[in-house]
Amino acid sequence: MGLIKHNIKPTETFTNLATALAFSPTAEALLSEAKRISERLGAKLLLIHAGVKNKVAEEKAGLLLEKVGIDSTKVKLIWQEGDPVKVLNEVCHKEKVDLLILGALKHEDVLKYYIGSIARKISRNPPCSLLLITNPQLTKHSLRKVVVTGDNHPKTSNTIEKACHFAVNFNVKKITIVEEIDPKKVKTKIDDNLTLEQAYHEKKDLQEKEDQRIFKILHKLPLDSDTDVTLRCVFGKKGYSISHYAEVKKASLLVMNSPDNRLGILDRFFPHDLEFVLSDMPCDLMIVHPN
Amino acid sequence: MSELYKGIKGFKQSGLKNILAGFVVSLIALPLALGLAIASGVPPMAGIITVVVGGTLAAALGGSHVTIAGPGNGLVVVILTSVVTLGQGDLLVGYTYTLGAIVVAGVLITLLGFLRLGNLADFFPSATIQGMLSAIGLIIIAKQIHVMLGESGVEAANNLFLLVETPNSIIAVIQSPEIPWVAIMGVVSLGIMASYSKIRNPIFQTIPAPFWIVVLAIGFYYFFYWFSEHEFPISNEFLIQIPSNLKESFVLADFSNWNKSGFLIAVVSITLIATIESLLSIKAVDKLDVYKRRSNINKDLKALGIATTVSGLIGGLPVVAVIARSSVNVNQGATSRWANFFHAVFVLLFVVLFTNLLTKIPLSALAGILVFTGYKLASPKQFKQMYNLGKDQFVIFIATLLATLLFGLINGILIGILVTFGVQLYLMQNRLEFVRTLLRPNTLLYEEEDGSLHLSVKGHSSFINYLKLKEVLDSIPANKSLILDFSLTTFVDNSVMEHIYHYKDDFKKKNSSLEVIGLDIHDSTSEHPFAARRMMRFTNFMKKGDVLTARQKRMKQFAKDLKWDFKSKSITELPLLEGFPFFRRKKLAHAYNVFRGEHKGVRVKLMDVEFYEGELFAKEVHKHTVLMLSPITPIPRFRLDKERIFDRIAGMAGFEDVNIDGHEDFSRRFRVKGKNVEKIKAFFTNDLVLFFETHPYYHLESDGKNILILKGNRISSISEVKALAIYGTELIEKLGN
Repeated sequence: MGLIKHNIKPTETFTNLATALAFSPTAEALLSEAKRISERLGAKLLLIHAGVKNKVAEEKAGLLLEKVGIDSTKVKLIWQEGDPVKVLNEVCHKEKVDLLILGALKHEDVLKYYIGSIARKISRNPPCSLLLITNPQLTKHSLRKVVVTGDNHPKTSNTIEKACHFAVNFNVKKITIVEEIDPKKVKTKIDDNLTLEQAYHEKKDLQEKEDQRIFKILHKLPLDSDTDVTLRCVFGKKGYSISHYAEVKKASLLVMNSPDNRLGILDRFFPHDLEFVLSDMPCDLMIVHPN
Repeated sequence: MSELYKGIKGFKQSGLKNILAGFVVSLIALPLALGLAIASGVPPMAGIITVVVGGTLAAALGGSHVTIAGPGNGLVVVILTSVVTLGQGDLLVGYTYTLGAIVVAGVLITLLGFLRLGNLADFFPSATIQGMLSAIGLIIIAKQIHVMLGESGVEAANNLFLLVETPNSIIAVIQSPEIPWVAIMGVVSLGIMASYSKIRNPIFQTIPAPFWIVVLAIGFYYFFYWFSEHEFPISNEFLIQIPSNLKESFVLADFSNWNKSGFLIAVVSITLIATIESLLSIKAVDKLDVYKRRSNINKDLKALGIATTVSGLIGGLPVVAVIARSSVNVNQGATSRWANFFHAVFVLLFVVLFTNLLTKIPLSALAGILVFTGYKLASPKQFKQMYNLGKDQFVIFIATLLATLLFGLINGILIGILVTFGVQLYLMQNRLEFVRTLLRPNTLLYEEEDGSLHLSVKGHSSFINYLKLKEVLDSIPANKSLILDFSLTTFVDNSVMEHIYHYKDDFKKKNSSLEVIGLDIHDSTSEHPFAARRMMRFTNFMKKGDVLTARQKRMKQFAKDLKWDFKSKSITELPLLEGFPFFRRKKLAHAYNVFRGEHKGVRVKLMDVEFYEGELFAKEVHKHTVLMLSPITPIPRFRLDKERIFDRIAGMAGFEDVNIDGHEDFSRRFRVKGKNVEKIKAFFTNDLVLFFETHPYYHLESDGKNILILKGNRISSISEVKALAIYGTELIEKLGN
C-alpha cells in the first residue's frame, strides 16, 4: 500500500489509432471520442468500415464525419468487405495500428455473452492494444480514476508504462495499480486467533514483495508533473478482483494486459483473468498489447 | 484478563472451578446419557460409554475450550432408524451393526477435520437446519411420549401417525384399572423439566432438573422399600437395565453389513448430523465463552471423529459437541477442557459406585426428560420465529420439516436445499444472470488509505456462495474494524443476513466493529432483521413501508439524540442539491434517509442521495451521503477539497485555485476554488482555516447560499454519518451565524 508521489511526463504512447466506422446509434459518439483521443495524443486516426463501398454508404459516412467535425480529406478511411472481426484484425495488422478504439456494452445478455460480440471477440485475441468504450459521449469529458493491473507478468511493466503515459495525457490525477495476490499463496491456515495473526503478517510480507516489484517498474518511468500513483493490494481471484475494485471505486478506465492465448468458449464458462472483466465490464477498458 | 495456561498448568491455575463445573454437568449428563441411549434403541450403558470416551478423548485432543462432548439429541433419530433397519427387528443385532456404521462415520468425521472442511456445516441454509431440528424434535416426542405414558409397543406407519397416536395412549392410561405409576413418573418428570426454569427457589436450583428426576425416582423406590408393605409397583421391564457386571456393557462393532445400502445410509446420516450438531454447538458455545476464545473447529472435528470411532468400537454412540450441557458448563464457571474431562469422570464414578441405584429409575422418567428436549426443538415458539422471518423462510422450514418426517434426515435436508434454491430463484429478479454467476467469486476485500478494511459484495449473496464470504470474514485480523458493503448486491438471502448478524457480535467481542452498509435500498421479505433482501426497482421503493434496516434504526436513534427529524422515505424533488456544481453533470434520482434539523439558526439536512451519470444501459448509479447547511447570511461561492477526484467538475465550471494569504500549509493541503477571489479570501478567516486544518477532510462546496459537505464516494457508515453531522454543527459554530 502506501501513497507514492510519482511524476510522469506526458510522452508518446500510441501513434496510430484506428476505430471502426459503423452506422449504429452510438457511432457518432464513438467517433467523437476517437477524435478527441487522437487529438490529445497527437496521433493519426484511421477509420475502418467493414462493408461494401457504395454511394449510399459513402454519403452516410461523410455526413457522420461532418457531424463529428472530422476533416474527411485528412483522415484515411478503409473500406473492406467481410466479417467485421476479420476485417478489423487484418487492417490493424497491415496498417500497424497500435490502438484500436471500439464501443462495447457493459453487460451483454447471457446468450450474446457466450456467442460473443465484435468488440469482445476482438478482445479475446487482440491484434494490437484495444480501448473499449462503454459509454461513448459526444461532448468532452475527462477521465477521473484509472485502475491499472499490477499482475506479476512480463507484460505488466509495459502496460503500466503505457497506462501512466496515457493517463497523464488526459490529466488524470489518480492512478491506482492493483496487485492481485492469490489467497492460496498465504501458507498459514487460519484456525484460531494465533494463526489468524500469523496469516495477517504473512499477507503483509507478500504485499511488501509485490509493492517492491511495482516500485521497480515505476522507477523506470520519467519524472515530472503531479499525478498520484497508489498501490493497492487485494487478495483474491485474478481478473475478478481488479474488476470489482474498479467498480467499487467508480474508476473511469481499467487497464489490463492482453491475454496470452486466444480466449475460447470454455474460458467463458470457466472464466479467469481478463474474461472476468469482459463478462461484466465495470468501466471503459484498455487492453494493452505488448507490440 | 490474565493469560490462560493450557494442560496441567492450566488445571492448577483454574483451581476447583473446572472440577465443580464438571460435577454439575455430570448431574445432567448422567440421566441424559441413559435416556438418549434408550431412545436410540441401544442399551443405556452405550450412553455412558459415549460420555466417558467423549469426555476424555475430546478433552485431550479437542480444539474448543468449554464445550462438553457426549451423546447428542440430533442423532437419536439416526441411530434408532439404523438399529431398526439394520437389525430387521432384532434390536441387539441392529445395535452391533450400527456400531460398525458409527466407527466408519467417526473415521469420516476425522477426515473432514483433516481436510479442513469444518466450514461445510455453514453451507446449509438456516431454515433447512431449523426444519431438520424441529423434525428431529417431533420424532423424539413421537417415539418417547408413549414410553413416558408407559404404553410400550405403540406402532404406526410413520412418525407423523405415531404422534397422532398420543391421545390413544393417554386414554389407555386413564382407563387402566391400577394406579398408572409408570405414567405418573413420566408426567412428573416432564413437569419438573418444564417448570424448572420458572421455579426460582435457590435450593431447588442448585441441582439441575434431570438430576432431580433421578433423585425423585430413586427416592420413590426407597419409599416403597422402607415404608410400604406393598411391592414396588413398577415392574422390571419399565426400569433401566444395567448389567451388574459392567464389563458386559462393552459390545464390539460388527462390520459384516458394510456392503448393505442401509449401512451406507447410516454412515452418511451419522457423519452429516454429527458434524452439523457439533459445529452448531461449538459456534454457539464460542459466543458464551467469557475469555472470547475462538475454537479451532477442524481440530475439534478431528477429536470428535476419533472419539466417535473409539466409542463405536466398544459399544458407544457417536460423540458430538452438545449445546445444552456446554451452556451449563459455562454458567458454572468452566475455563478449559478440564471441565469436560471431569464431567466424564463423575459420570463414570456414579455408574461404578451406584449401579444398583440407577437400575431403580423408571424408563418413563427418562422419557419425560427426552419429550421435553424434543419439545425444545419443535416448540410452537420455533414455528412462530420461523414465521416471523418471512413467508419464504417459513415455506422452506415447513417443507424441510415434512420431508424429514416422511423421507428421513438425508432426504429431508436435500429437499430443503432444493426448496431454498427454488424460493430464491422465485424471489430473484435477474434469474439468468444469477445462474451464470452462480459459482463466480463475488467478494473484494481491500484496505482503504486510512487503514480501514472494506469488504464489498457483488451480485447475489446467498448460502450458495456464503462459504467464500465466510472465508474472507474469518481472515479479518482481530483488532481491525470492517465495513461490509452490500450496495452492489441484487440479492442477499436470509442465511447470509443471519450469519452477518452473528459476525457483528464476534467483532464486538474483539473490541472492533462490523458495520453493514448498502442494504437500505433493498426490499426485505419481512420485518425481521434476518429477512432476505433484494434490490428494489425504483418504483417499488416509493411504495416501501417503514421496514427499517439496522443502519436506519441507528440513524433514527442518532436523529433523536440530536433532536433532529429523521425520515427514511425517499424524496425526488431536490432543487437545492441540483444547484451545486457537484451535481451539475449528474442526474439526481432521489434522496432517502433524510435528517432535518437546525443548529444555531442554520438549517441542516443530512441524507443519502442516489444519482446517476449516463443513461440507459450506460447508466452509472452512485450513492453518496451528503450534508447540506443553509446559513442565513450569504457566503461566497467556493469549493474546498483535497483529493482531486472532483477536478473534473471544477474544470468545467471554470474555477480557479485561490491561495489564502499567510496559510501556506493550508493552501498546500487544500484546494480552494471559486470566481470571486477577494470575497473568498475574506471569508477564510484564520479561525476557519484552523478549523479545516484540524478536522478530517471533507469535500465542501458553497452555491452562495448553501453549503454541501460530503466525503468519499459511497454511502457512509453510521459512525461516518455521526462524524459528518458533528463536523457540520461545528462548522456552523465557526461560521458564527
